[in-house]
Amino acid sequence: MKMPMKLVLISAFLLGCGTVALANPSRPQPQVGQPFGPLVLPTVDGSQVVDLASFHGRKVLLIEFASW
Amino acid sequence: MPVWHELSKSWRESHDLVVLGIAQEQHPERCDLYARWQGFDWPILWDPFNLTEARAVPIVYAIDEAGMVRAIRPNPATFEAEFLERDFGAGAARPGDVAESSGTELVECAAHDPSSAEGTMWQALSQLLFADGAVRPIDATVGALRLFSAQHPEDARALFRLGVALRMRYDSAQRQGSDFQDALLAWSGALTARPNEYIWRRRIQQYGPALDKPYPFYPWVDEALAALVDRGEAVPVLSAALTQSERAAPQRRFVGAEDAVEPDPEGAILRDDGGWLEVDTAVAHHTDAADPVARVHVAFRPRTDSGVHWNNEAEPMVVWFGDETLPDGWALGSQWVRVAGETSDVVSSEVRSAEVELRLPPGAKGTLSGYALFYACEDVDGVCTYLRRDFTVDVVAR
Repeated sequence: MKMPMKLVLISAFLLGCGTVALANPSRPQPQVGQPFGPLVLPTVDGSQVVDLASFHGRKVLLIEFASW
Repeated sequence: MPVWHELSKSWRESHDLVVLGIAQEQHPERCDLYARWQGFDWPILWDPFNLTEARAVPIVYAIDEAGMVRAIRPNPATFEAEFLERDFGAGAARPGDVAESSGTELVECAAHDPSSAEGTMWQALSQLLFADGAVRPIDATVGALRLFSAQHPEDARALFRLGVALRMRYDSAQRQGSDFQDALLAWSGALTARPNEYIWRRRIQQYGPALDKPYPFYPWVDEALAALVDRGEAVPVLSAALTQSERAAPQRRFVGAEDAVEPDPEGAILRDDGGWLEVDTAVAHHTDAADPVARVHVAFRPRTDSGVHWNNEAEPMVVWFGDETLPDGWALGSQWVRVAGETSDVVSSEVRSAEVELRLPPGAKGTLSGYALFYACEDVDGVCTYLRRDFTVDVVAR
């Protein structure tokens, strides 16, 4: 049975420094056979915060792009 | 992206595939508009600070159930067989499991001393990204990035991110006059230190001269807006007006200004001494130091706190750039620009920008002078007049 897409909704009021994983200045480029690494970002419409880790157990197609 | 969007429609059902986008853009609502226009129905994340450190776009990753990267730039033709139908032995992974990094230094904000410049910077970035849009702590973020960059001038990423924050503040109600120019200087400094950062280079070229454009950046916006209106769909509010540079097509050679007749050579038109318009300027240089061309931006904002509005029943604003005082070796691409409003309303108060291309010797700096002739009204039913606003542009070295 297909699981609903799990989006992590984080209230701005709950966000402190320790709740959000960010990459430090030495984050290397993703490599095949290695974890992509922590990724928590807001959506472009501002409605959600998405944590890549919330999709573990499912295959992910991740597309980095720009509309220009 | 449309290719992967179309292909993944069935895979999301048949293989329980999750599709996520990450937009490497300054303005999220523009990507939101693009996604709605194209019918993308998967989440697109916003990474204006290039936290993922993507060095190219587009780039596609296939990630298995355990969070491991299984392919970079996978082949759409073989994606189903080589990724979706393949067992990577990651079946033990459960939803909610957190991937562990391997050789990747990943930090939580809390790992830093909150009183340190680095801890303060990460906290500010987190709060800016995840705060409600109406209450973004932009001043604190700019301050934290400035402090960290001052202490760590070798950190080009922080300098790029400072530029992002400055441009964000420029597009906000907290705007300070030099924010756009300061953003361009920060980005240029970052790119000089790390010239292979493609995303950083594009951020400058977005506002830069036509000679430096690989392609037009946002020529599709009007078409997308019209399409959403025709479809009766919600239209994102674009918080920052598109500059002409962002719509401009690339050029391959500098074309100098044709002879033009100055509109107010005697200075006879009454002056606006600052009570009617706010003016700020910025100069975006070519990202290749050997190509000495720049794009000059001059933005005019009616002082709405004084009730000033554009008078849209009158002729468009004319902006004149003087060349009689240009230093030797400098040349303008155009001496005058007509700037019309984009609304059918009788009055409006949007920012209006004049842009001109400038050729100058490498490393040159100096001053460009000009003036705007404009019609405005003190209030919707108040006094309307025709005024001249003089300005100067400090052309800073790249």
